[in-house]
Amino acid sequence: MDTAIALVNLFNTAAPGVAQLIVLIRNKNGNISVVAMLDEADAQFSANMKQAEDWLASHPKT
Amino acid sequence: MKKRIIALGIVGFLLVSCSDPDLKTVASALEDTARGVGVLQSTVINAADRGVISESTTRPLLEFALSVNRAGKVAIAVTKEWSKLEKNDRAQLLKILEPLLEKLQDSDSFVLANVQDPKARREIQAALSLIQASLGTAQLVLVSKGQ
Repeated sequence: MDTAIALVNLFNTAAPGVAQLIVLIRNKNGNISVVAMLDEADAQFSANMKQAEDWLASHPKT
Repeated sequence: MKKRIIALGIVGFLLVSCSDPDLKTVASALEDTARGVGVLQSTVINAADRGVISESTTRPLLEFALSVNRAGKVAIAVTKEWSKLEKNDRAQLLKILEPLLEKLQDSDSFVLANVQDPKARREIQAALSLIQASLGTAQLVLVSKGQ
């Protein structure tokens, strides 16, 4: 999908307006929105892990 | 103009070829699971900070949350490779998610047995239910066409 976005960006250089389309697509039912959801979930899981690991590290088992 | 039409055509092709509704449901369920785990962790840490649950109760809940986070990231990594859910993909994802659903039941029993404060217990159980509902949605979609 990164390739697809890179491709669209490439075309956008020659055809202004496609960038706005990307934003539109991210909110529609296509695979790009699936990828966007997975990216969001991945970032959230990472943030969760950091929060849990930080707490566990600051409260070592006695 | 011609270039713009070509660009739109490519985008359209990508959308049409990659819009498996089950895949979208699974992605959405993973996103909800991630949010649910975030809520669980914040609730548990907040309760620990307030002193209404002990560190020995907080620790296993956060360790459980960590296992969901890790499994979630694995599920995302494999799901990102697919544009459509095939039978084998469904089985692969179920193998990652189903153990978490089993652990959720254990965690719920653990909370019932160890969290005495009613408000904290209610909040933690609500967060666990949110995670269970999200993972259950993914499981249902994966099982429905995976047999």
